[in-house]
Amino acid sequence: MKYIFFFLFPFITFSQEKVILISYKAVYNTELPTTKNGFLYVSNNQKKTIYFTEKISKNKDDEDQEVDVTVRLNSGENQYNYFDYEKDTLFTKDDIFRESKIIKEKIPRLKWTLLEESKTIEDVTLNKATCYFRGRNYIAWYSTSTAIKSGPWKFQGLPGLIYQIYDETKRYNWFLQYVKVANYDFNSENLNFKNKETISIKEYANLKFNNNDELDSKILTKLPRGATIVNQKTFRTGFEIKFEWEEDLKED
Amino acid sequence: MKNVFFALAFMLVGTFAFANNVNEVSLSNNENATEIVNSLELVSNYDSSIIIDDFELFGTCYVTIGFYDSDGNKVAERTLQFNNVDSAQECSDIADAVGEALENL
Repeated sequence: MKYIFFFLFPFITFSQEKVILISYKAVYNTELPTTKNGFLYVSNNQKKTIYFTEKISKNKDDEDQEVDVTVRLNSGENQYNYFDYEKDTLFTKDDIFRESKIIKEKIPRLKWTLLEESKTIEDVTLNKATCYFRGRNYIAWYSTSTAIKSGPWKFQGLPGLIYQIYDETKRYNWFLQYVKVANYDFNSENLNFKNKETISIKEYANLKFNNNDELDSKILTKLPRGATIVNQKTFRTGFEIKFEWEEDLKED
Repeated sequence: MKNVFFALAFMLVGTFAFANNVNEVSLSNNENATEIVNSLELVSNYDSSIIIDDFELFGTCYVTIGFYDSDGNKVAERTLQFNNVDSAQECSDIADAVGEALENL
């Protein structure tokens, strides 16, 4: 058996390529404040990137005092944003309630406004840029000294590496931690979406924000007989709260 | 002649009964109307959340659940109603049971 491993070892090793790994700390000042580590892998030719997040720690005391019961809904699977610039495609793996879904869309064109304002952090000069994307205004600080156009989550398209980015309310914040060389296999079967079920960004928005009945029926199946739902609220929250087709409707 | 007496007696009884009914209706309406108005004023002065939590008064327990995604965003909120609850402790126990039941939603 061990001979098989030795035989396969060169293939396993060579299937991974040297890439640039950029780590971010994501700080979300949400109703249950959350901090995550983000890992952005950028291929050498920058034609493929993937951004993973993982929660730093689970705090058992993270409960919202405004409610009687706090329920975290997640699938437990890793979430990521995979950019394939050659195919102009972005695959996002995200949770909708407890289900993990892969969302396929064209790479969003972020309209950055590059500003004159700059600041220096640890001898690195950072320039300011702003951008509106899906309902939120973001402020980014980037450095042109590192010619990487990718950033955390769906942020990309700036003429340099993003050191800090946050929305104007500072609800969502990302801070650069380090940059180093690492190995990553962009040809991995995990990133082959041909036989995987994907949904469109419109379907994603619909499932996420217009799915009251399904949630209610799931709740009721778990509760003792006689329990009734007397009040229901659904919040449009998260990074994306307004989509392109909704913007178009508004303009009409 | 006998029939005439019966007719007069019946009319006399009918007259008393009618008068009694009128008195009762009048008295009842005044008192009830005052009570209902007072009751409505009392309720309208209450904060709705106080009424909801006052299970001892109504025997009803309300449990509010917040649902959050993996980024800590509050995505939904539901309030559940449980009837025939006897005490605050029982209501608290129900809330705990709801939390456990929804852990694997």
